[in-house]
Amino acid sequence: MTTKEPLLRVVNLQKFFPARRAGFFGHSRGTIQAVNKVSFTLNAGETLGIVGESGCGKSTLGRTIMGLYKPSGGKVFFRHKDLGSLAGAEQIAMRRHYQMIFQDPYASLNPRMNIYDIIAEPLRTHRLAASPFELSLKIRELMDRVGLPATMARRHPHEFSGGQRQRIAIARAIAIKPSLIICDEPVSALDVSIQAQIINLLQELQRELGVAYVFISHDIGVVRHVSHRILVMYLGGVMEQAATEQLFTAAAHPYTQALLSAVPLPDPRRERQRQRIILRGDLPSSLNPPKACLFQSRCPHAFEPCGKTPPPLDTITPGHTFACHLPHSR
Amino acid sequence: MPLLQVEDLRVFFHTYAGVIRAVDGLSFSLEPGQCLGVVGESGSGKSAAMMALLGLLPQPPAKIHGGRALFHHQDLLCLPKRELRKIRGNKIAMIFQDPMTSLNPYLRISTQMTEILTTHEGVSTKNALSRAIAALEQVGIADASRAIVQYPHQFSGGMRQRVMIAMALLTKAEIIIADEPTTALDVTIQAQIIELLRSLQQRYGLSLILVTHDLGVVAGISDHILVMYNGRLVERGTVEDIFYRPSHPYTEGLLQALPRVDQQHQHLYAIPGAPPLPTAQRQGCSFAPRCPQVMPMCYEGEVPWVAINQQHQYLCHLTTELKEGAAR
Repeated sequence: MTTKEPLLRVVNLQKFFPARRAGFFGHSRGTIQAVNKVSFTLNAGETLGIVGESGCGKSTLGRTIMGLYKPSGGKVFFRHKDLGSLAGAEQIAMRRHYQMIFQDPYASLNPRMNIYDIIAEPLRTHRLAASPFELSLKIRELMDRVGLPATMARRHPHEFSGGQRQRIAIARAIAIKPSLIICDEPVSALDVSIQAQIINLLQELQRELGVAYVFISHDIGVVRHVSHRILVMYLGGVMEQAATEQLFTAAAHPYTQALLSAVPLPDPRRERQRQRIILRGDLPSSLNPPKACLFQSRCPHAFEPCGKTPPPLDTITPGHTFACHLPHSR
Repeated sequence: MPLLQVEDLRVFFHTYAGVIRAVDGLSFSLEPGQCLGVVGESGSGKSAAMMALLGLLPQPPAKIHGGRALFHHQDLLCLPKRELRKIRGNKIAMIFQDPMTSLNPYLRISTQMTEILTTHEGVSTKNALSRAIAALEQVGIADASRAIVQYPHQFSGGMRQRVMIAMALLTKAEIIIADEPTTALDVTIQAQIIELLRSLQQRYGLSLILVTHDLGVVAGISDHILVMYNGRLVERGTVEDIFYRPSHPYTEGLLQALPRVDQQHQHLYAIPGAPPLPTAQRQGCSFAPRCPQVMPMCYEGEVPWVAINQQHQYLCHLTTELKEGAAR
């Protein structure tokens, strides 16, 4: 364990959304706790995977870190600076260092801009090219790096396939050499054969540029493959956090265990012999989540204290924590 | 005798951009009580083939250019619409990715479930309702008599999919064709639905065709698997053949491209390039431009089938002898 300050430190981050009835005078029906007291750290050049099912708040978490949503509570420290306290020129200068990639690159690329201008935009915004010639050189280099032929520079997003569009989004994100990229389901819309190309590209870029990723995905196989550490979320809260291999060999939280056992394996013999933990019922509404432990309504081990007090964050080994009332020596 | 036998099915779409050969010569058979997995990436023709069998493709632009689909001595592709309607949703049920598109949002679940029985089988409303409630209980919906009077939007995605399965049970369907039934669901719900299909299949001897892009989903439940690429069947075999002895370079690549939860530090093999445009002229093997073992002859002429045994075959110029030679 190093004592140096990590690249990104998220402390008790919260994001609540008011839930209103339809209409102008719609009155509040309460709040949706999309992200509730999430804390983690991420070192430079590493990948933190965030997994969970739909509605668990993983995308909201990514967007809140990016500053696309204003946090309802908690802090985000990036390179020692509290992002919430920055403003003006300082804030813009800091934004150079973190970027985001979305699931649907078609929605995040302006359909009226050609690829050249899309990739040039961050370079122009941050004035990172001294001359138009230098700009064109940089763009050619970036396109080449992500595997797009430079001859395609004047084309528009609709002329590209899903995998190529994701390459464009990646080129735009790495254009200003950020030290952190938040990837929100970057490969979920892609077919398996194309998905592998994009994952490999992201990993190569990490090795070359030393960029850190917050990798948000519902696909546990993909997250295992890319992440150094993994955070498991459920209904806005963190259930478990551990180094990747630790999580897959010694998952402690009943939710993590169920989640891992639910993933189908492409291996017929093992798949037939496997004992699955089948969870009861559906995800509760995030408008009205269970009190105390969020997972109690579906937990196979739920017992008395689960409905009374929020589970404490238990540390099993350094870096491996889980939120549960059960002792981990089950 | 197989329950459903499809021979040389060809479905083309005639569009302004050109002819799309969505399904180009698909043959397979489904034995009673078996589960057949159909895997392929988007645009491989897996859904189009199933829709064509049930007459669900709008014609035009779709046109069936040939083939036979025998089900109880009847060719589904030649049946008049009225006759097909008696089979579809009745003897052959279909479950789609998004159950909301197959359920009418304006009608209560009870109305939609009893309708089939009252119109087709002339069952009394009261009887139909109790049978519908029983079917919902069989698919694991708690408090079925209360749930049945609700509307589809009051159900979660997983519960809607259970309703679709219950409807198939209600008509005593012999075949359920499930097209990406769990793709829109979270993994813990997906596990519930797959488990349900598996147990119903065993209990009632249902035959199941499971169409999916997810190789993991078919591994645990299928007996046989068809692998499709760009409208063509490229490999077929038992589930063990496909997962442990994949022979077509595409199947091999696909399995190596899959990030797995049960392996650490795995190297992902990325199949280079992208599938051809659907309107592209077809000559030779359509996987040739992406194939790591491509040979000059792959770009022209007909690609032959290589039979490893009675059940396991693949569409490729690479014979088993050539492959062994390359391995050495």
